[in-house]
Amino acid sequence: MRPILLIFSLFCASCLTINAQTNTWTGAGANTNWNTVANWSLNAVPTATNDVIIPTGHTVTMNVAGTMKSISVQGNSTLNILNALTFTNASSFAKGTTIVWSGGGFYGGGVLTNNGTLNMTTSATKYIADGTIVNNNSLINMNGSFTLYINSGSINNQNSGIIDIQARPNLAPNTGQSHQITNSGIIKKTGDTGAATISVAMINTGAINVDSGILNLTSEAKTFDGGEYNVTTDATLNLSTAISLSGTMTGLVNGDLNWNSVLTVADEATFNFTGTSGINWVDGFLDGGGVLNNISRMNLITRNTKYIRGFTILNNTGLLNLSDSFTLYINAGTLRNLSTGIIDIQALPHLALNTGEAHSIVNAGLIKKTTNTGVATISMALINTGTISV
Amino acid sequence: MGTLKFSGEAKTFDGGIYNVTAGNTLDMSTEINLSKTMTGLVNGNLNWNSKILVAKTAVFQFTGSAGINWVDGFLEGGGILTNMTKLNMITSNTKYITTNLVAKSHC
Repeated sequence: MRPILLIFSLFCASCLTINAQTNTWTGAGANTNWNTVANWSLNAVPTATNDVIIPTGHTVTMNVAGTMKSISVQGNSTLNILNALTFTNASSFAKGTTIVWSGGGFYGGGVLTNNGTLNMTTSATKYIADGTIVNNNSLINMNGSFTLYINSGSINNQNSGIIDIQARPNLAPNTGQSHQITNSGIIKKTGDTGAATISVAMINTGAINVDSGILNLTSEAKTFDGGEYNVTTDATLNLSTAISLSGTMTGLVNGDLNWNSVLTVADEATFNFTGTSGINWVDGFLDGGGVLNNISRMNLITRNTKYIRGFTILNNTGLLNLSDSFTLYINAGTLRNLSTGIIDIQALPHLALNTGEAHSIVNAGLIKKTTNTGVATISMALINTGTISV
Repeated sequence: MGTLKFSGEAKTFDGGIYNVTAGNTLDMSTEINLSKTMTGLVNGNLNWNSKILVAKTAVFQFTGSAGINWVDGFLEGGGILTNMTKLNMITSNTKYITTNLVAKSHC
């Protein structure tokens, strides 16, 4: 029995050695290329069984696709990624490292933690696939106008994480399930005055800042669970897809924060923005059956028809500017202008019923008709205990 | 400024303040259920064009130079509408009272 156990133990030890074999970058080769065998401690290009370590003080160029068990880039090293980087286990870019991701993608299904600076450059398409997760604790600069396809996987921008969109990328879904960006840190649009797009699903509890240009949130649905939304003068944040709201949305809005699609409030949500602009309801629906509280400034603009439906309630204790000649249909729902609320009818809107039950405007605040000399109409049910001024 | 028109579905005025500046118009062109006291500064056109329903009691107590214009329609509901302000019955349109209108001041 003992000899059998001994052989079995040796076999297992051998397996462990193979499975956990570390291949460390030495940089002893003639160049910095990944596929130069002399650059590696095992004198071989890493394989799927290797834990790859790039110690401090090196520059490494992934001139070919690389497959490994894990990768750890350490110290002040630089890794240039031009091709597919495939890893299955937990991997990391340490604080102080610089990663230049100009092509290829992250594959393999591992979890990559970025504590360094990850620069996404060039217009080459990039991928996150196979269920790979990128946790960003530090800085991701999107310097190029590329498409990043998140086929199956996610980017989790953690509390300390910053994603700085400096160009015009499109962060897009492709195929596969469970692809999304979650943000509890900061996503900011800076630099380029053009439009960047996030079309993949997103869950935001952090800050989204548009300091320059346009950030379009399109296609797949987004979730805003509170969060901060800052838009500087001449910049635009377009909410052009279905967004589920909860919690309190704050932020300094001096530019255009445009609601262009469906906002769904299942329970309760609050707009509490500061700044000169407020949120612009350009087009679309308020839906979900919950309560949206507006305690800041909301501008109903353009002639696009707008809807409150699904027994949803819009509570206004701030300012609703009805600035254009649209129709607002309250199919099933209520617009409540509470005691401190002001509805300023500046143009010739029509507040109307369409279909559905229990639709009304309840005014305990101030409804005033200003600015335009034409006729504005309220044809849906109105209950007034407040002030109506023409 | 301009005209604000109430039309379509019935409205309920449970008291409230109604201000109309000179040259401007608030048109009540649909059924309105009145209760409590309606106040406000009316120097423009506050037009009653349809049906006013008073189930219990309601009071008109506007200030300003214009008062309220009964242009057309009905006073109904079985209650008492007390006018303590200026109520102008204008145009040749037929008007109907099927409830109680009490004049306490201008009428």
